[in-house]
Amino acid sequence: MANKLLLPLLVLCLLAACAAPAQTGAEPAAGTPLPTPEGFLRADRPRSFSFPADFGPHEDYLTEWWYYTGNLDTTDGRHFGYELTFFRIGLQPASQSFPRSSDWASGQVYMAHFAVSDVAGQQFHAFQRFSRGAAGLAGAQGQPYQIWLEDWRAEQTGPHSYRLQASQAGVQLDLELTDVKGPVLHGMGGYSQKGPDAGNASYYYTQPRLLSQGTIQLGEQRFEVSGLSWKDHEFSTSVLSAGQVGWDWFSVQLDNGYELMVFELRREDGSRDPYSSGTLIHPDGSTTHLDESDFSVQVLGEWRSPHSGASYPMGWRILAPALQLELELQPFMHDQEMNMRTIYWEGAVRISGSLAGQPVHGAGYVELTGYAEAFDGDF
Amino acid sequence: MSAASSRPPATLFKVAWRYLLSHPLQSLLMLLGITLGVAVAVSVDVANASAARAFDLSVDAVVGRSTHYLSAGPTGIPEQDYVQLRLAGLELPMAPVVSQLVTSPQMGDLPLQLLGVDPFAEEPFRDYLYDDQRQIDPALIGAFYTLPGAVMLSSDMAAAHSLATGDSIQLDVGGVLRPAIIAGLLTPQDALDRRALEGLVLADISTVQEFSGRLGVLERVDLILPSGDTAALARLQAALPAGLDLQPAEGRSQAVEQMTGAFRTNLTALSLLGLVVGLFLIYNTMTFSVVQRRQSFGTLRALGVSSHEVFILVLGEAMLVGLVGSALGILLGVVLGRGAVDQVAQTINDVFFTLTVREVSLPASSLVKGGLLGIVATLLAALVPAWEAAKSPPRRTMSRSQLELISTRLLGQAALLGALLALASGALLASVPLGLVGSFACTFGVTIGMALTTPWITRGLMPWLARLLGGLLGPLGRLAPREVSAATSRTSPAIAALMVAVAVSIGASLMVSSFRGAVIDWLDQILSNDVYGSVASASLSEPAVPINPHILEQLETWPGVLAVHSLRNIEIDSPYGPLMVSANNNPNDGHEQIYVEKQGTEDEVWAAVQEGAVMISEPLANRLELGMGDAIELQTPGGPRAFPIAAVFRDYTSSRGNVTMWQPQYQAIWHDPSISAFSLLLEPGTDPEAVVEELRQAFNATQFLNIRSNAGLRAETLEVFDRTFLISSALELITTAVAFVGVLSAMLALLLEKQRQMGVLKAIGMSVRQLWGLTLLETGLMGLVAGLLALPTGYFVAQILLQIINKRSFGWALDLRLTPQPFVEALLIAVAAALLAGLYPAYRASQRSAADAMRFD
Repeated sequence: MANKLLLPLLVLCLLAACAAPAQTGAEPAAGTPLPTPEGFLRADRPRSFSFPADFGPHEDYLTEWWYYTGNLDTTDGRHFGYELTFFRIGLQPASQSFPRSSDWASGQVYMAHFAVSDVAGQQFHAFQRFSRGAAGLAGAQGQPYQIWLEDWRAEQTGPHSYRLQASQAGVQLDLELTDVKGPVLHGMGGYSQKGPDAGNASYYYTQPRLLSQGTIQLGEQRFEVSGLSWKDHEFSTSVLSAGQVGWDWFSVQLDNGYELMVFELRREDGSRDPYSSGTLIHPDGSTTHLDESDFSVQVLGEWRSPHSGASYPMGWRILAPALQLELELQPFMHDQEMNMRTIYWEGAVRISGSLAGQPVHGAGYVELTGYAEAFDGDF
Repeated sequence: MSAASSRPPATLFKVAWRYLLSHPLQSLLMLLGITLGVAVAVSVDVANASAARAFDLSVDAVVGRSTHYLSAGPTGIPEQDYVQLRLAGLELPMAPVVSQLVTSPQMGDLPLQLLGVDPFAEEPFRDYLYDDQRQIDPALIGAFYTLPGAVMLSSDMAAAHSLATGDSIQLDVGGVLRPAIIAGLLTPQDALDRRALEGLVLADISTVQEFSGRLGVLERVDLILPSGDTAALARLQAALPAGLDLQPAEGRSQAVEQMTGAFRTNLTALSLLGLVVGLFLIYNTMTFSVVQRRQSFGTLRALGVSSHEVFILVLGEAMLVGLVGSALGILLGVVLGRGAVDQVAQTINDVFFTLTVREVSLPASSLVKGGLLGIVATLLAALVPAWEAAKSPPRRTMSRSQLELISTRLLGQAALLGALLALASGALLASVPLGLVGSFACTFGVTIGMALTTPWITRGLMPWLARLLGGLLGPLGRLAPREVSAATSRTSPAIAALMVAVAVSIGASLMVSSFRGAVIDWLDQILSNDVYGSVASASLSEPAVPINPHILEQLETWPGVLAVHSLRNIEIDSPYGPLMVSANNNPNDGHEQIYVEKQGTEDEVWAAVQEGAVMISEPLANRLELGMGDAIELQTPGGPRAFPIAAVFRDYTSSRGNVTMWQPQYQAIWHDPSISAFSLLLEPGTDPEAVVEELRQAFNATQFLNIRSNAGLRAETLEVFDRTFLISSALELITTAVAFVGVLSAMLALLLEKQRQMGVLKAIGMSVRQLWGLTLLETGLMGLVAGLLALPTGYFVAQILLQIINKRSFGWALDLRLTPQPFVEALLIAVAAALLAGLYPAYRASQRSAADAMRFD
């Protein structure tokens, strides 16, 4: 999903209505045409997906993201988590764009986050970048699939294989990914409803099982690693409903070939939003949709960030009685807070429990948003 | 020390204060001397400091915190080269920049720096787009990236021109009016920021590329290379696409800074001259006030006041006047400085570099310097009069003849000292290469030395004049020169002051007229075509924008046009900083130059240039110390390349200097077909002004060009020339005004001393009319002597200015062109100023009755 309701929040601030508060050095133009959701298409009905074209960007929609997370190990068992995410924000729907002759004129802004969790070293390395989606500095395309922001990139290298590369300040990731399950559509054929109104939804698919092999470099140290990655791709124009303040999102990759994605939308009053949902992915790629009533998440602990001061739930039990599913998720390390322009927690977790009476183990990623004060989400 | 030393000094100051209050005219004169002297010094200092600050800010606004930049010559950096570097993962702060000088009819048509940037790359370099958390307003990104013509300017600038966010404005970019919209206002974080933002228009790269028509191209890429990080440098070097050249950022500004520095030193020297003349004035007025009170000093001494205390009393008075005068001088200086800043900035724009910052900054140092200068100068000038007052014996005033005896003894010594000083300074100037400041110091030495000989020469001259005038005018004619001579200690400082002021004015006007003559000759030589055209540029010192190629095509077939020649003006990087290169295709150019140095005949020089040699202009040759047989290195797309120098030619277009080469050579090396100016040779009988008018009407809609006839261009060039020297003329005028006040106060002092004598003259039957005549004759004689002595001094000053100082500051050595006019003018000014200064004293003298006047003694 969906983890990433954060992006719509960012986008809102690109709208004049939410023009950043007066502390900025530059005062925005009142009369300046700024992007409005009106000109963009809305995710208000199911659509048919066609791959590989749909791996690429959908610029008729306001926001879009490609989200890679993964758990990797060296042969001697040293564990790493990683996140490499590309966001696209449309500044202007194509229908409203002005004719421009400079290659630098751009209707798209790209943002990317890159993080490596070094569990043995208890170090969390996180970086962010921004660029215009023009002049070749950043962009995305479907055939062949590639997305990049300067030298951070994900690209197709074969019919089912991809390469991820990112490097900053001595932290380097270079992975070859092989998709063994293909894309899986969430919600109703990829139409994922997030609120009661038509259009409060996104289009959302996942490549849940990407065999991963490559290297992680930390300064002078180089590690050969392998493991599993997960890719989310989601695009929408207006997802949020009034009263939703954040979400907890969970991706689970189990050693018996199953994956699970669930998200819980949190409301202002602390309650769970009825549009929370999930998907169980079977080893053959078929899916079982989970409604809000089909699963529950119990919080087992709490962690207070020394950076932002925010308190996050830490440690969870996911229960889906109808599926005979009971999983406990514990973070590999507590401090995996992304202290960027927007503050959120995105971390690798270890998983154990049972499915259909059988003990299972695995790893996954959890995203927690809306816990930090600073989550008012401008750029 | 007497018992009186226990007397509180406050009492003495009270005496001084009362005196000053009860003699408003004298107090006013003293104040005027100090005020004017300090004001001139402060105003020039303020103007200079503002210009220097404006320069720094204009550069900072554009350069930001970059340590280096990448450039690729006149054609610019292909934008894909930058993208390639970005994608190479160098992790170095890099910011692409496209800039352009523009004007806006909505913003007073003053030059503005349109700076095209990428907001996401800017943060390490320039602060304007970011808040104090170093974050950028997302709405601005939206406007910058999507909206054509979106620009931002400072809230101050917007307010000054009644503009607001959302307003549409027009920007004149290289002669083409482009519609722009104010997408937001930059709110300065502090005063420094506010000044840096003045004159800056910020836009996205896309907008500036579209406005300037330079699509696909960046002007430069700013870089921050951590100092000492050789690994980062090596990574960059390895990744650098071919044709890109890495330069240190400070190289850009250093060369220009040096040259404007020379210009500013010139002004400082002129302003100090104002103060020197002011010193004479202070000396005069202090002397006057002492003379007037000789009797009361005698009384004070008789009452038990020690001579030491009298000395302190007079210095105290001087101190009071000095304080008030300096304070007033600072105020006046700031007011004058505001006017001077525009002048200085205009000259710097014309000659050196386009300043987009125009605000007057008031550095505390200028004010403190001015104040100290005023007080110290006043005290120095008051030393002699104070000493004179302290010498007053009790009860009895000292006789005039005693003082004059001392003066006579001193005159010879002073003259000798002065002659030695002038000779030594002259010899030093002639023999040793001095810096600009040293040259000015020696010029002062010559001038002051000549001034010191003034009293001795005056006294020597007067008996001759007495005989001459006696024959012509009778007793009155004999009396006046004797009076001047008898009161040398009073008259000579005034004569010397007037002499210095007039001499400098002769020197400066000789220099300017010689310079102007040289420029006119040069224009005659080089302006051999009939019509000239170039892009209307925001400034004369900036490399020109290309002319639309369609216009050039049409010129080829324009009725009445015999031949079209073209020129490309462009800045090229070199080891000496950016150099202006002119590439022209006029085959006759070799015969249209005045050569300073050349190898072989004009034909041979031009043949060499067509084969790849270059000619360099005189200022460049002087600045870089290059000449025949040397080669000059320029950065080309294929790396650095040395061009042999075939000739050094005279050129007054730029004191930065330029390199002239054959256009086909230039185009082959730099792959730049653009043209920045053209000249047309018309068929005989065609009216150039008519063609100019036709061309303007035909092309103005496409691109606004400065199209002028030969005569028009010549007039405009001379206009810029005159503008450059306007501030010098203003300073000369003030100096002469100070000298005028000097003569006035000297005459008042003299008359006061001579009241008894005047009374006697009246008693023995001298008419009021004759008294007027006598007084004016005396002041007229003083003016005449000052004027006569100023002639040779002025001549020397002119020689020094032309041969040494001009060459050092601008790189042009000029021959003195002697014309009688400046000399005659100076003589007339000296006499007229002196006569004018004599009017009031003559009036005073004529008002007193004989009995009153005689009671004075």
